[in-house]
Amino acid sequence: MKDEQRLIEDVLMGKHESFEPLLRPYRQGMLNMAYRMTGNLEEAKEVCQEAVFKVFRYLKTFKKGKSFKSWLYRVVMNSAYDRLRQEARHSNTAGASDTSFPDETHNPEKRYLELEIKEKIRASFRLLTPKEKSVFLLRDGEGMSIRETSEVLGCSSLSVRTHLSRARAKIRMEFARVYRLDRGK
Amino acid sequence: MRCAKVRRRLPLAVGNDLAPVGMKRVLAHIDRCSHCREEFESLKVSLESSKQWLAQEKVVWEEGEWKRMIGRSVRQYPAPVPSLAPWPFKKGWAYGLMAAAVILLFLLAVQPPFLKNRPGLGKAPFQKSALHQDSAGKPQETVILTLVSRQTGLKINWVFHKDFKWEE
Repeated sequence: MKDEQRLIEDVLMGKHESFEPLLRPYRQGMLNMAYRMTGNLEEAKEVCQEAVFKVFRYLKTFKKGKSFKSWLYRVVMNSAYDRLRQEARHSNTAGASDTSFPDETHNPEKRYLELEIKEKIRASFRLLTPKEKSVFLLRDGEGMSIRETSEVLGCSSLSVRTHLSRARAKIRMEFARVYRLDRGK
Repeated sequence: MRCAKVRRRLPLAVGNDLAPVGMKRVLAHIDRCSHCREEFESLKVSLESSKQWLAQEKVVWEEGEWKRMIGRSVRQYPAPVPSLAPWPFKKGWAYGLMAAAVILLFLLAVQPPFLKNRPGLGKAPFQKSALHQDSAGKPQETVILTLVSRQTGLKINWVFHKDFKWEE
């Protein structure tokens, strides 16, 4: 925390080399968050790029004593929302999400099963609204507390609980539906 | 607690996101009710699978790509100008102080009537001519200041000459 504060002050004083160490601990988290929000690796990288631009540009507005992690994730989330909104406008490109996840396994049968399960989970994710998805990803994906999640999303803990409850219920419903269909085959 | 109420709380209970009291009640109900228990287990399975998927489906930055991205960000925008004021100095304070300074200067320059008429802020009540001319019209050369003690009646006269000449 103190190191982080020092790095922020260094960047604000013009030492640009301190910017990379400042973001380094969160780089994978940022990318994964953007990836799960957009469903596409290239788009996720663009979202991260946009977020990093914003962080560098508006670092001076970051309030001392607040959690940098929460602020950073908030910027990433907002960039991802912007991207999703843009996509919604140009809806002809919708549904073109990347399904080629890296998979190191060489066993075709196992690979097929894993892909099938992943596809089911991904399908359940598509049912979630952006807010539900972000709450679920922060709480259950990143392991943040309800309070931290509410800080990142700029909403109340009650709202986080409501969206989280809905998200989990929706995912469970989709799971139940898919497995029922499988059993019916 | 009724089943309907418990089922509304199950999605939060499965991730231990309820308050301790609520959690206790839900778990107590689950122990008794097989339908709610089944629902709870089902939620648990879906949540665990999702978490597992989220943990597995991690994407990583390539070192070079990450550094390029940071480099682009730093180059794209002009460097933040290091301020003379310390970092937590608030902009609002600066604007406030500037506004106060402008108002003060304005009051000193214009001297509005409500300030002019106040005692102590107007012109000095001394008359220049009375100090510089005696009754005959000659320029006054000395000023005598007499101090009288109230207790002892002692008088002290101080004489100030215009050329600082000593007088006994």
